[in-house]
This record gives sequence, structure tokens and C-alpha cells, in this order.
Amino acid sequence: MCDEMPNIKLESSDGEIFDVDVKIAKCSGTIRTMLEDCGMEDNVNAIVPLLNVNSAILRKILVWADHHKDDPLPAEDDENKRTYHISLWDADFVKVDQSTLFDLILAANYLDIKSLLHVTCKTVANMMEGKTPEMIRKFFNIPNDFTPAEKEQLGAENEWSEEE
Amino acid sequence: MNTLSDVPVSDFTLPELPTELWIQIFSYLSYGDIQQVKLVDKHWCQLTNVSHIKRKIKLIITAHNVESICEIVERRKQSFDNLQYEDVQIHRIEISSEYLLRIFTYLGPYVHHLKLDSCETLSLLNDLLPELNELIFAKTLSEEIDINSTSLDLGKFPKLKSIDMSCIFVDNSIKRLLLLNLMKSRCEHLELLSLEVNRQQEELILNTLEMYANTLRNLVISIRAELDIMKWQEMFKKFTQLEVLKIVGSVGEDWLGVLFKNIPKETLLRAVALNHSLEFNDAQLEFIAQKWCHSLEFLDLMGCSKLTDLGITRLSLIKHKLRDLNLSRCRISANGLLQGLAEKTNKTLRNLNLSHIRGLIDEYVCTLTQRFPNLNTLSLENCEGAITNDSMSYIFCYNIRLQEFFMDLTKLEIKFCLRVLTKNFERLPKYFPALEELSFPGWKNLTDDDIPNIVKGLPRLRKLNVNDCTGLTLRTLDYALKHSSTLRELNMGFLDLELDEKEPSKQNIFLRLEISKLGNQPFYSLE
Repeated sequence: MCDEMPNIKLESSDGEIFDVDVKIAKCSGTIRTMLEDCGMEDNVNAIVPLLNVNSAILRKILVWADHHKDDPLPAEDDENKRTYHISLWDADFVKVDQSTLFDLILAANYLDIKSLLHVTCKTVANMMEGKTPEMIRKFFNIPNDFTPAEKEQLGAENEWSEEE
Repeated sequence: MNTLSDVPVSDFTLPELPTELWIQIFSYLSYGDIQQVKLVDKHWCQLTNVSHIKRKIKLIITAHNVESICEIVERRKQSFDNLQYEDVQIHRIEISSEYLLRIFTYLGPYVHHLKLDSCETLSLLNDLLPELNELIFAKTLSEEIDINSTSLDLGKFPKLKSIDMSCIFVDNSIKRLLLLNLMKSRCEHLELLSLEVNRQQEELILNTLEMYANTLRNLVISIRAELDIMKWQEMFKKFTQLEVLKIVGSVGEDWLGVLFKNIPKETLLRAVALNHSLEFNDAQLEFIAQKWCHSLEFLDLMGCSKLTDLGITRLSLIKHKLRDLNLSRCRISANGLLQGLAEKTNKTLRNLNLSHIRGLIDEYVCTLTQRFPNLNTLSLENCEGAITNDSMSYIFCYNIRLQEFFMDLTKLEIKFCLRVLTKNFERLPKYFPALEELSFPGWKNLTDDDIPNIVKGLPRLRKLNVNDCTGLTLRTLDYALKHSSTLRELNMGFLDLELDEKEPSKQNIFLRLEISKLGNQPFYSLE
């Protein structure tokens, strides 16, 4: 049945049109809602404009959606969030430069693709793991805007010293 | 495997993410890491103060630390850092402890789970825990308990969802008191009940269950007596909301059959656990697989020794649904399992426990791992013949396809692995790069020199159990502490270490690295 699903067209922010299997496109909660609420489902020639996603990122996201199209819907289980593991395919998928990674986060958020948002956010969190504030600043190129006095006060509140 | 290059990009500027996305990112971090993130810049410092990313910690109050906890709690009053004291365990403290009262005056409104271990501080808590959700009785101290002094009133906990009083070490008089209490004032939100059924209390338990049958979602019964089928059968018809059913111990013949017949078909059972049920047979397994073929996801049949391959093949009815299967100590074969669940590749099953199954030879292990490519955990504890040098070599070395199949495994538990050579473990990182938990206690051949390979090669390792690997020394501990950023739990219980005197368990030293980073906090946290 799924094989006979019609295609729909997605338009990226820079105007490129992607011809996509409806099933794949529906990985995105946003697109799913658009199709269902706006009755676009039956309209084979409908073009869905995605104003916040450029073609490079959209292309990548479609690769993700294609790979995950048969996944069962994830159970809402925030409690175990930290122990979820990232599959190897997913880990490979997010091996990209930092700006692409953050673009993926923004796009996953905009398109409402929970599993992708989870993997990308966790990947960024993994980059912070075990690092000192100075290492984190360097890694993400963040300037230190604490005054020495503020720093001292924060240090006093934290039992875990920065030097570690 | 490196997850991502650790080389910082200098021309990169951090994009502006909406607040909720940063918070989502931070929510994956441990308490220790959040403390670091806080110091990065003002913006992040602000972001980390939201309640979402407060880390839940378990507070274990003992006679040793009750005083210092009291001090800390009173000093900090409402602002408890990024910690959330939802889960509290009270261990061996006298009822009259004034400190306890003071602690709960502040912490009470935050406590959701409470476990009472060897203590009878029941009445004390009546008015202090408005949010209490889960109450567990682990043990009671003396045999003679003055009921009047323990006048717990369950009606005072408006949010109570779950009560566990099945523990055999909890005195009967306390259990009776609790049951009467449940009868007296109805706990509106009660969903889980864990009970021990014995002769003296059967009537009372039936009455209690009767009262809650239409709201309970989760029922655990430990049975210590032959039960009257007639009385129970009517009651089971009323369980309309039940999702999880666990029965511990042996029941009289036919009791299980009657039970499963009488639970309505419309009740969507998701999980059934029958630990050591000596009567559970093939026909009954087929019956439940058929009756709940659309909902059953979890089956724990540990020690159901009457089951044979015939019954296991009938699991084919739920093979598209079943995610968790425990067949530990069953008398079944790999063939039965393959026929039942995996004539072809089964992508649904995530957790499989085959420990203590006899005759599971190494060849079958290879087939099993191929047929269940999505396994997260596989337990082959004490399967004589299953983990041999041959099967490990086969998996690690000759079968290229197996690499893929094994890739997603996050937990590997190998016990009694005397016959495995060290050189196979060198290949672990290559073939199981996603491992998060690794356990091979009692493996004497392992030396400190093997540890760097494991720690460095497995970038996601959170838990390493090398208990009783007597070839290891303190060097291993040092190395792990220094070189692993992900390791949170290391079990080297055999090492004679001078640990903090407040260490809760002396017999089995469980050194939680998370704690050692928390440093001088006088209590213990686990995530």
C-alpha cells in the first residue's frame, strides 16, 4: 500500500523543488499537519513551501527521513532521555561541521521531526561532555562575558572547580 | 570510533538558537557537566537555571548522614542548585529523629518517591509529602511493631500512584495496616499496587483489590500460598485498565489459566511477567499470545520450567509486537526461539535474555544475533557452551556481516567467560563501537594493559563491570578516571580500597564516578 503513495513537492527557502514520497515527507510533523489540515493530501501537484530550510539542509533531511521512514513512532518517555543511544547510522549522519549541525537542529525543530531533533541535540550535548568551561568556550567560539567579580561569585557557588 | 572531530572551528560563530532548543541540549547533560556549562557565559548561566534541567538525584538518608543533610538543606533553603530531590530513601533511622522532620519540612514538597528501608517513620510523614507519588516499603526493623505509633494515613497523600509493599521483610502487621488504610480512604490516583498474598491476608487483599480493580494499571502479586480460585476469578473480570501484570512465585494449578481467561480481552495487557511460575504451560502461553496479540510487548518468563519449544514457537503470534523477552532458565532451545520469533529476520525484538539456558551452543548464538539485528541487550549469562572462544572468534573475526548486526548493541554482558582469550577483547571496540554498558565479571585473564583499549576504543561506555577480575589493579581505576569522559559507573568491588566511610554498601563497593566528581557532597547521587 505504502509503495503506491503519491509524491508531493517541497520547496526549499532558496527555491529548489524536491519531489518527495508522501510517506517520507510525513516524517515531519509540520508537513503532516499541513497536508492533513489544509486538505492538500489529495492534491498531487501541491507545492509545500518550507521558508526556513535551504536546499542543502533539506536534501540532508530527506536522506534522514528516507532512512527512518519505517521506524515505529517513538514512545514519549522523557525520563530515559539521557540513556537513549544514538544508532551508528544516525551518528554517522550527524558527523558534519558545526554550522550544518546547528542548521539541522533548527530545521528539525521547524519541521517537527522529533527523532532528528533528539539526535542532533544529543550530539551537541556530547560535545560539551567532560569539558571545562574554557574548553567549551574554545570549542564553540563563545566569548567569556563574566566579570572577574561575577566569576568569583559563581565559583563560590560551584563546588566543582573549573580547573578540573 | 570518534563521534565527531574534536577540533574546534575558529571561524565558526554560534547561531542563535531559541531558548527551548538550548534547554533541550542541556537536558542531556549530567549534573557535573551542567555545572561547567553554567560557567561558560552569562546567557548559558541563565539558561541552566530553568527547572527542566534540574538533575534528579536520589537522596539516601541514613543515621550517619542525616545531620549533615539537615544542615545543607536548611542552609540552602529553597534554592537547591541544579539538583532535584525527588527520590528519597530513608534507611535505618529512628522514628523520633528530629533531623528527619527538619529535612522534610524543606524537602517534603519536592519528594515524589519515598522508600522506607528498615525504618518506621510512617506517621511522621503524614502531612509533609503533598506530592508523594510512589511509596515503597523495603523492610521493617523489629518484629514487634506498635501499630499505634505507626499511624500512617494514606489519605494524606493526594497524589499517590504507586504502593509497593510486597517485600517479604515487611512485617505482616504493617501490611495489614496499609491494606486497611487503602480500604478506609480511597486513593483516587492509585495505579500500581505490589502485594504479597498469604493465607491470613487473602480476604483483606481481595477486598482491597476489588476496590481498586477498575483503576489499577499495574499489578504485582507475590504469592506465598495456594489461593482460592473461585474468589479470584470474579475479581479478575473487573481489571479493565490493567497494562502490566506480574506474578511472582508458584500458584496452585490452573490458577494462572483462570486468571488469564477472566481478564477481559478488551483490557490491553502490554506486559506479562511470570517469574518462576512452575505451572505455566505451553497452552497458556499460546492463549495469552493469542488473546493479547495486539498489545503484548513485554514477556518475562524467567524460570517457567514447564514451557517447551512447542509453546515458544507460538510466540509467532506476537512476533511483530514483542520487544522484550526473558527466557532465562527456561528449558527451551534456540530452534524453538528461531521458529517462534525469527524464521526470518526479526527487527522488533530489542532485549533478549537467554541466561542459564542449557544447550545453547555457540553456533546458535551466531544465528540468533543475525536474526535479531536490532537487539539492544543480549544476556548470555551462564549459558554453557554459548560463549566460547569459537563463537567469539566467529563473531569478532570471521563473519563480516555480523559486524553490522552487532553494531547497535549497547549492552554486552558476558559472564563465566573463562574460555575467551584476551586477544578477542582487543577487537571489542571494532565490532561493538556503540557499547554503553560492558560487563564481564570474574574474568581472571584480564590485565591492566587491556583497559586502555576498552576505555579509549569505546567512546560511549558509561558502565563497566569488571568485578572479580582479579588481574586488575588500581592502575585500571586511575586510567579509567583519567581517560574516560563518559564512564559513570565502574564496578571493581574486589579491590580493597579505602573508601569514604559513608559509602552505603560495604559488601559490594560500587564506585560511581558521577559521585566522585560531585566531591564533597555528603550524600550520594545517581543519575
